[in-house]
Amino acid sequence: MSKTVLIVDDSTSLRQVVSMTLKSQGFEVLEGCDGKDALTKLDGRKISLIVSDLNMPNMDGLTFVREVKKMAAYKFVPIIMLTTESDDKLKSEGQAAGLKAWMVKPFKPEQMIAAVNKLVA
Amino acid sequence: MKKHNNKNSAQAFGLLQMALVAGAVVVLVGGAVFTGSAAVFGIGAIALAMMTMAIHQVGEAKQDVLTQEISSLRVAVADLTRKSDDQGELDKLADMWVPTLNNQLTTANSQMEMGIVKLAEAFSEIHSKLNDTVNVASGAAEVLGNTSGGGGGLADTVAESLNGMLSSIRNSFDEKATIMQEVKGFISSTEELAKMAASVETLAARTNLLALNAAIEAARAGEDGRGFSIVADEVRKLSMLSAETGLKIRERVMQIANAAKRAGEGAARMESSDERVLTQASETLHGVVAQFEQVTVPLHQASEQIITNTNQVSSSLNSAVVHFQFQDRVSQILGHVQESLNQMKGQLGTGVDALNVATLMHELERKYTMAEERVNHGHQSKDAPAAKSASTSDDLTFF
Repeated sequence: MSKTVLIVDDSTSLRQVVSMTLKSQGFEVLEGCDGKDALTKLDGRKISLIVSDLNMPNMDGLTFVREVKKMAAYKFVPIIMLTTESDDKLKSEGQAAGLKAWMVKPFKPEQMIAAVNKLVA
Repeated sequence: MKKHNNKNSAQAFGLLQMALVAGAVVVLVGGAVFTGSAAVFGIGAIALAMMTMAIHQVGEAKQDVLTQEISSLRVAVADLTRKSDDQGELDKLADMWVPTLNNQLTTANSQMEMGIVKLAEAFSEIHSKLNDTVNVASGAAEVLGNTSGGGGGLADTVAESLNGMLSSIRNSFDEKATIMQEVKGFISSTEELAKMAASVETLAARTNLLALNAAIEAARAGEDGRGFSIVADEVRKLSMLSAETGLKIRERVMQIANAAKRAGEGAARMESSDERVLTQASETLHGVVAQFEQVTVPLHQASEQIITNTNQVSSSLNSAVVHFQFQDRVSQILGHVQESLNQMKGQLGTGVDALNVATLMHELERKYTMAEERVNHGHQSKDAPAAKSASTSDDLTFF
């Protein structure tokens, strides 16, 4: 059975590119346009991994991560932050919030695939 | 304020002069009227002239003051008019120009996003078809197998199967030859059987002759030979039966021998044609395999070429995936520009004096999410990370 990844980003084209990359490896994909929208997708269905942007309207990435970690069904789902930010302070905040990885845009497909495969294994 | 005080003192001094002169005129005119003295009247006239001159001087001074005041007022009015014009222009800047720029930026961003989304959809379709092509080509290549002489290819498998079939045919021919050898042996056995059957007939004939002689002797013996005559008759019957049986055996054996002989002759004829058939089959098989290889080898090479080309295209597509992400970066930069324009609009709405470029620059810098923005800001702040290339990023940190 194929694994499902939730992609959270306010950029439609970015979600599309990540989706294309992951679908080529047999993953199924769910999309959320910001943190608030993504939380509605966590309705009990099985999610193997979450890839989230940091700067989004309505609910930013770090707040979204903290909310996910409060949900019993999803608190152990690995989360990758995919963002243009590379500041070490933000990375530390992300690690404290429970992130498993921090990836800076633009990403290479093989890099994304390797990271996802490592975290869902 | 100094100008105003000067104006006031000049006015006061002028008024005082006028008052003194007027007073002197009144006194002198009054004195001339009441005293009737021409001298007094002359003095009064002189005083009047002096008053007129004084008034004229005062007037001139006052005029000068007024002229100065008018000039000042004109400058102030011009200043106010200019300020009013400037404020009007600033209002237009805030109410017309900034919103128009915002709209243009929003439209540009929206059109770019729509274009990139469509392009990404098309690329996704291409990527998917490429994956399908690779899978099909890989499957075909696997089926066709290695044609570089290492064995295991489809042609080799087919040749192996055909050779196996040829071998089976050869084995069946060999078995047939063995059977024919058995048949030949059978034929020689039937010949012996025929001889044995002939011997039985001969034996039966002699036995019959002996029985006949015995019957004759029994007849000669008269009454005493009656029993012997009966036995002789029975022996004659047995010998005749044996002769008949021997004949039948011989005839049957001859039939079998003839049939076996004919089978042996047929097998001998087939043996020579079997060898010819086997030779032809072997030649045909090799020809078929060679023709098959003429098809499978190019097919396998084509499959491998398809896989190589497809992998190269996939690699190019992967590079394109990196470049597709430029729209997200541009969108963020445009968003920050729009926010700053709106902040400027907010400041101008309060008044030109509220315009604070330092605040605008600080707020703009606070919103930055990329190293390139910080570099473009015109300086590197001490907390800004080093600039990174936007074409690729290898920054991946696991926690």
